[in-house]
Amino acid sequence: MALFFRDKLPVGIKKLLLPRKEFSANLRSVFLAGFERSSAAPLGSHWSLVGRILVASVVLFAATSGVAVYADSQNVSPQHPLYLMKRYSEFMQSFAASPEDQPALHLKFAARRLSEIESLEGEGEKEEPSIATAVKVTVTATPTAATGAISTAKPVNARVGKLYNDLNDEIRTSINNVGAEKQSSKRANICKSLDKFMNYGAPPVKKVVKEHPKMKNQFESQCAGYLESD
Amino acid sequence: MELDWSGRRLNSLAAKMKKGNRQAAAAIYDELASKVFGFCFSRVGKRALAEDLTQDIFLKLLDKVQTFDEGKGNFAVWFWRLARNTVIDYYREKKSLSFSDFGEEIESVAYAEPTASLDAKLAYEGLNNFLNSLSGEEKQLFELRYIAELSYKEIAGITEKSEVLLRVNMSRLKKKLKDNLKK
Repeated sequence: MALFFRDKLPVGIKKLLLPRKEFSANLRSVFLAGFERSSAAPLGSHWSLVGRILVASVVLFAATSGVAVYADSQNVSPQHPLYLMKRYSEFMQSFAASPEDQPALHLKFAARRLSEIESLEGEGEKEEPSIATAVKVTVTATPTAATGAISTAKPVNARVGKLYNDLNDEIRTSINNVGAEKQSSKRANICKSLDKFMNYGAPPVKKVVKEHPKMKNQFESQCAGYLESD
Repeated sequence: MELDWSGRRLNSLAAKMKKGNRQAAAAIYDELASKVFGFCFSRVGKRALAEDLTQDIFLKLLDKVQTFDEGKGNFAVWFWRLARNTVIDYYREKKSLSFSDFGEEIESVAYAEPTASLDAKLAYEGLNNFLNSLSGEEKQLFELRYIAELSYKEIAGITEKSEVLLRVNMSRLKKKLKDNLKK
């Protein structure tokens, strides 16, 4: 009984005052289920938070898209602060385009990369003489025409190197998707445009084609029978 | 009122429970359920009734926890007031019932527990007889101190009596208990 005098119940008596385990477990479940139900009210504020985030996301997306469309329509140069937005716009256009539209679209982007390489190389070699010949690549499958200027300059920095890689990717994507066009006349048009672009003499394109011999084979395989009429 | 570690922990759990933290609610239940049952069982003497009252107390906690202001008070005091008032309400309602509703006698707590040792049963019977000889206030003090295991500060908060007076009363209570056990 000594424990009584340290303000503690003797263990034996304490045990008699314990609830049944089954009762404790059941009441615990009831209590926590009730708690979850009563906490459901603040969930409304969670939903309103989700709603606010959604609205903010839509507004942000709309604003970003607006800037991207502007950057794309202006065809800004790689040095321009909105260049990344232009590339984002290209990504979105490619994402939304049908497989038949992909070859012309990526050829258009390839022409853009070419002109960007030339403009950057021109910046880097302003003091050196450059051969500038205007080349027009007409993409008959789309209303867009790409214009490029030829430069003999080599990549002067990492940015130009990256653009060369992008140029390679765009040409490849265009070639790879030629087969998606089932109409013979349209397929012939895109093949002719690709042929002109790859063989017209723009040094950066020549360099890319030379470095990737399989690209030419792939082009010939995709466009076999569609170039003869020209 | 300055809180001890256990008091601060309960206050922190209550604050989290108010914000919808399920783990905090579970921790509060685990901390208090056995003590609440013991408190009710000691008061009403019937296991089934004590279970009902324990359930009522925890459901009231769900309803009222948002009214607890952790910046102003001690959760243990707030909670045990709720528990005590629930038991008091039960007795008030019982008084309003007709005489025939009192047919059941309070069961013998100790002998209703077949697994308990004989010593414990006898000790409990002795204790129960002793508690029945106490005044309502003395019995309440014993239950809050020994069964709910509250500090004198917390009991003072619940009963709105000074801590010094409670310590004096408890000292007298212990002397009575000692004398009773000697008999």
